[in-house]
Amino acid sequence: MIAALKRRDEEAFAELVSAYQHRVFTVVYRIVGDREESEDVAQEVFVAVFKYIDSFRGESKFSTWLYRIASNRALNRVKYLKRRSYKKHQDFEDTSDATLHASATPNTLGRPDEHALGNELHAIINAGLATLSEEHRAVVVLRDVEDMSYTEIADALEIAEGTVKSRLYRARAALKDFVDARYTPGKKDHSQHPDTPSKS
Amino acid sequence: MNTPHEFEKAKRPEEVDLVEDDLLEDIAQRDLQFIAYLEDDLSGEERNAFRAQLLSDPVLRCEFDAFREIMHATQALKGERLPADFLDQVQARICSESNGRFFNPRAMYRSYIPYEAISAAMILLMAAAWIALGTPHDHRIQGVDVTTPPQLHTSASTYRN
Repeated sequence: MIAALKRRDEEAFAELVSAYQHRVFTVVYRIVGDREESEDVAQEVFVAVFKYIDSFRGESKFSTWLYRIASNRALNRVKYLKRRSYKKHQDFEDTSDATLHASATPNTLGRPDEHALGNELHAIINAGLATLSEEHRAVVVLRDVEDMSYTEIADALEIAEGTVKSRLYRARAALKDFVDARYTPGKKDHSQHPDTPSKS
Repeated sequence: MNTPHEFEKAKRPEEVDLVEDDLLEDIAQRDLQFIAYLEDDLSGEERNAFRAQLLSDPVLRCEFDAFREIMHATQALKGERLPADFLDQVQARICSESNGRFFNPRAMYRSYIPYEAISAAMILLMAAAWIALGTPHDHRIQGVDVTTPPQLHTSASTYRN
């Protein structure tokens, strides 16, 4: 597959996009928060893969390389949207970080599809994710959506493993506080034995 | 078995190999324990101690279950779907950015051929043609003495126009 991509084989590229498009989009969307912007970023990611596939040396897994591109592009887009939003609002004295953040992630908060499904906890968690910094969000997304190890996340985001852990712990604690303030859990079965960890 | 105090002592954040300047001191110790357990960051001994705590402390167990529910729900968030024509959009973008070199439905040769290969093929073709045809054979010039300058035939008619 990689060799075919390096030959710019169009069929191989189509296969690659079909295989990864939804996963890449999910990661990008969870970081960026806006569907239209995320679709554009996802397109950029695959265009970049097509252009720069020669720079993939096989030192890491291809998916890690792909998610490195995706997360970098998504984080850059969030920064760009914040800058653009700041320029638009710089004349207003009351422009706050929260306003900037909300404008950068407008579709994540209170998404109607989740309310329609009645999935209250998921809706609250999505809203909670939107309140995290994009760097923390990126770590949670790669860990939870893509089930990546600390090492793979560190490789994808080009940060130290300790930083990955630190961000993940902070994000999980912040999400828990956010949800606790908004969600009343349902009836729990306390007879259940503490299960095995979520990650191996 | 570790007592809760011993467990907390054993599970100081700085021992979790965190980023140097972030000791997570502002996060509740209990939350750190929950995360470490659910992320499988505990040693075998720490894990056993924590399980024993959960089984003996209903309040802790209740808090842990709530935390685990949030974490599992985060992991279970549904993936996002793209529009069906996403691939077409990506291909159109590459076609546009490559000036029609790739993914151009009207192009005769759609596969990627590196410039080096094209150059090598042209050189081989010219070499083959040279070998096959040889140098031009013009028998009319074979007997010409090329060391003698050509004679200029001037006459009045030469300058007529």
